[in-house]
Amino acid sequence: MVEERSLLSKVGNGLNVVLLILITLLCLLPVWYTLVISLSDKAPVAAGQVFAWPKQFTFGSYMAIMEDPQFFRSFWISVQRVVYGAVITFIVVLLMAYPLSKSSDEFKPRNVIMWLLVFCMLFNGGLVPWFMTMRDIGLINNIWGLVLGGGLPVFNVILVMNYFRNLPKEMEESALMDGAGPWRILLGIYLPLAKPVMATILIFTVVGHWNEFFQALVLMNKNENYPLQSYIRQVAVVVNTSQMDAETAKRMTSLSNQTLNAAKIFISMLPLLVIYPFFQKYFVKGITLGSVKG
Amino acid sequence: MKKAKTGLALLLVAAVAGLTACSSSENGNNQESSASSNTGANAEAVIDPMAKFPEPVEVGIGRAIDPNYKFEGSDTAEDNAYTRWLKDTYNIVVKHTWEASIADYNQKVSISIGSNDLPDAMLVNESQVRQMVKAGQLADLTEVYGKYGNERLKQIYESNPGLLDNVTFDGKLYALPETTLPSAPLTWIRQDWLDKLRLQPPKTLEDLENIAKAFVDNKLGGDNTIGIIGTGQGGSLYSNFLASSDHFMNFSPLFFANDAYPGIWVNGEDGNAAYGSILPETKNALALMKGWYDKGILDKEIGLRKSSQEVISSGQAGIFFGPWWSPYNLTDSIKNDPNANWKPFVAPLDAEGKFNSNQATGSTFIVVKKQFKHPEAVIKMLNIHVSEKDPSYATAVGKELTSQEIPLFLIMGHGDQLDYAVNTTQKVLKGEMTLEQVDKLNYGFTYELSSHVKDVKLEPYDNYDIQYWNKDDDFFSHLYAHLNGGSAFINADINWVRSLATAQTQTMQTKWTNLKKLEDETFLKIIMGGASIDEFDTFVTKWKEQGGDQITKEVNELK
Repeated sequence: MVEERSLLSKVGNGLNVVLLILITLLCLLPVWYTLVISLSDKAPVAAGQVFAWPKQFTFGSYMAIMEDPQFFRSFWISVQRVVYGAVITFIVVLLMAYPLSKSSDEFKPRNVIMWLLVFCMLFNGGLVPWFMTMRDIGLINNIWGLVLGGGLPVFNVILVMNYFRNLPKEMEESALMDGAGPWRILLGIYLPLAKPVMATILIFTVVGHWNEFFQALVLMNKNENYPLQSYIRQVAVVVNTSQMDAETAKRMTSLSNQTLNAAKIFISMLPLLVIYPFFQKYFVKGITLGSVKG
Repeated sequence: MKKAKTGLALLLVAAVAGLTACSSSENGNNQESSASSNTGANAEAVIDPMAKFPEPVEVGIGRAIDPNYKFEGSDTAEDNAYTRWLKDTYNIVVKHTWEASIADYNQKVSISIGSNDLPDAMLVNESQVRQMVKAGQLADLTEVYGKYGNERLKQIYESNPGLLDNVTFDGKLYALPETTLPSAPLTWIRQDWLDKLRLQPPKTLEDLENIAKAFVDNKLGGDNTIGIIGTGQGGSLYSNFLASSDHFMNFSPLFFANDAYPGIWVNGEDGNAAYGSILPETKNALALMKGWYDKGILDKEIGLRKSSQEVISSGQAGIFFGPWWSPYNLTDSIKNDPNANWKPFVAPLDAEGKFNSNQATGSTFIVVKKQFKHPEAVIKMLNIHVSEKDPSYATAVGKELTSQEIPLFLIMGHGDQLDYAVNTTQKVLKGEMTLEQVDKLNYGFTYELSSHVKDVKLEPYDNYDIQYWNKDDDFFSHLYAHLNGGSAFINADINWVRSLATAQTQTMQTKWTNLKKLEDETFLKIIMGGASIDEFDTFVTKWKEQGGDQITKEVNELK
């Protein structure tokens, strides 16, 4: 009986491994495929003959990117956006979450503010009103529109707030006894303890800002102000052949090709691939810890 | 360096479509008229439509940018040879209120309209014109057009009746439409496959059927040879009145050869307007296609295939339908198989031996914001665009430019650009004309074609088979498209059928999406065997009941 069970568990284990490998492949293959396309020649790619390994290996696409100043300009804008965005979000989320983690006895307007936040999370005014608001407060056509526009992610505030609520109250009380003020408590006790959750929201923000492309399409009036993903989107977007005319056809032959786009996409993935592992260890901890208490 | 140069040249092509001063050099009448307007001899209004503004006038526009376009030097879409020339010669200063890439342009226009945050002028499509008229956002151009439009511009609109009527609401003109270029779907076949099987080029539908059958039976494209490849995912089976030049890779010719014109409004038997899709000819065409589908001639994945282009590039199919410029999309096919010898055929013909096609109509319009103080500047820009250029153009710009340089670019004119390009290039190739004789100023792209043709086309000069080309030259795809495809198109005898309506009518705004869906789904079902051909009659009844009759009535009133 005992043996059978262990055999069963062995089989189960084996199945698990196979399943996990499959899931891993599911994540890895698109990345690999993009790389393979970017390293192949245009013609076999267009004919759909490239799968697991590059055909007619060439660095041509990467060379072409090196000659494209807009790619680097956009890359730099994206870097700026991520840095500003991450710093601002980090600060405002921290400052918002701490008071909100108190009960409404300690902090009177807590419930009102909380409702406002949740309301904003669930409803929004729609694209055109949003655009008009941004225009009226002068956030069109500059990078602050991209950074400040979504600078306070409510979901992240709630995540951090719940994390704070899970910390033992006694720590704060003893700190108060010792004469620490609220700033001291937040920065000296809560922040160091909140490393996992803060790392989590940081990676959320960084990834979010890096990958976001739509806001810039609406807010930027000049293509040269586009961040990287918006730039890649506009060159990589698939031209619908039903709307094609002679002019587009001519342009497409020389310029729009999948290999070049794949190379751009691959380069744009690199920064995140590089920083992800450093945040990885905090990641799971951060989400689950914050989410237990609702 | 060479690369950048090619990129530039490539895009100059666009100008073939655009520069329009062309026909005036050939037509004495025109020359006279534009000369007179140039000198300001417009006696009635005492306004010179081409005069320089005394003070600089700024026009803020919304602009579609091609992110892949390579400008000369440090030029941009906002600041280039053409815009500088506009400023120096006419005191018209073009500023970009916003820019968006071609793919995102429509979205940006929608936001502009929605937030009432409009540039002074921009290019929009038909439904956007209507939306803006409804919202009262547009300037009434009736008077300015009458006063400032020059003779050449008015001539173009007069030679294209109905264009201005489409954008005239309550007697007021709210937009300036484009005329667009002629386009018709030809049948493209692999000549090397025909030769292999010793088959003659097709004339009739029956010929085409036999050829496609032979290609499939002999597995010329491998085990999975597809007889005729066409409409893919999200595509339409045929061009319609809202996308009239949609001729690449669909099945329009199979309908045209049955004298059927689905998707457009034609004159019915009783002389009233009738929708082509509900006429018996369309039923015949669908029955034919159903038969071909069952015989394995048409692509099995019709309407579902993710990329029809892929099938061409990989050499799996030897027949498709497409306009003259299709060779631009064949370069990958030729690269993958150097023997792929694509040839255009003016076929299939209908029962009377005629080659039919629907006529392409334009879909882009210039609109001007209501509050803009100088709508005449926009009219002047269009005057300048369509007229013979001021002498200063030769030194300041010196060549044809594209929609990327020319602000508020519309395709305007009588459409002889392709004829000139093909004929002249052929003459230069054969030595009947020298390069110096090419009208460089008005047909700059033809000049480019002509100056490269001898490097690209090998002898014999009048044989366009693929082995007689230097495929490595950067200009190959241009010359191959113009000579191989363009020459077949301009020499074709085409029976044009123009849709009675070229825009949506009142009822269409609410009902058309559903009717179109009903039509597309029914037709695909019939072809692919999900429904019998009798389903067509049910469709006709349903279509009429669900608003079709009302719409037809409205189209009738347009006549």
